[in-house]
Amino acid sequence: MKTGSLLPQTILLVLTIATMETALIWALQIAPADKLQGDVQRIFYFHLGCIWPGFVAFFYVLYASIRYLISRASKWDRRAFASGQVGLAFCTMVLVTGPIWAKPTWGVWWAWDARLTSTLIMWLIFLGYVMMRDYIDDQKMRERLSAVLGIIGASMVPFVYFSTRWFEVQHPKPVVMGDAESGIKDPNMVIALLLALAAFTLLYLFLWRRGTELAEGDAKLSELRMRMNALEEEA
Amino acid sequence: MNQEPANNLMYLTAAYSAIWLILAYFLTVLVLKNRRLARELEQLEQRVSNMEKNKAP
Repeated sequence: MKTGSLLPQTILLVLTIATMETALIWALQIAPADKLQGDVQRIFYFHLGCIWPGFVAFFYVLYASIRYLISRASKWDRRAFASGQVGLAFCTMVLVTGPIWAKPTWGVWWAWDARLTSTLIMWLIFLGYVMMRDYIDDQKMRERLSAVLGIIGASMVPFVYFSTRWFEVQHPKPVVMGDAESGIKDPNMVIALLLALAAFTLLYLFLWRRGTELAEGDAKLSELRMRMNALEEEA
Repeated sequence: MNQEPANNLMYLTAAYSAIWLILAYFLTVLVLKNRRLARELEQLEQRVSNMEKNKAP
């Protein structure tokens, strides 16, 4: 399917791959190993690198869903859905890498604390958001329900973020915008984190754009089907 | 810290592998959907255009 200009997408893809590779080299080679955790702490760069663009993706779902509910224009539903899908993929990465990091540091794969549980609930809501669309045939109903569920899911983001401040949790305190003693100090660690954040943000933009084009293609397909049905009825 | 450094590397490898596997799965689904959609769009456009030609006086 050929939609949109290929040049900006190619540039975006090349930038994403280059930043991702640099982030990998910085996270695995250049950034020093943590004194307490050793090499396993290097999971942190991509674990956090995934969740921030994931939050951005969910906030965009919130924005586009509200725009949809106000305007009832399907383009906002398609944009929200494309963003929700990418957010779900990033959130899955976080939920998979988190326990792999937790096992050697906490001694357990999972703790039912506020941060982990709220992240899991948010993931389940967006899993439902993505899956629901295949089960509702009525387009307007599907778009309305998606918008409502998207708003509910995205409303979890502040709760997930602030859960480490509001509750006693096993999960470490925030590193970004956190307390003075909870941040990372080594400049190479900061660079590795910033590169991972940049790489996943670029990846989000690339995937969101592709997802939006796919959703637009789907809409065009439905339109053609309706036209064909009308022509068949006329014949 | 509960694990030996050698074990640590195993966890590190597992975490980074998981990220690439999830990303590869997502990209594969996206590419397959794109191909299916392109095929269906082409077929439908062809059919609709044929029907419109036949309908025209």
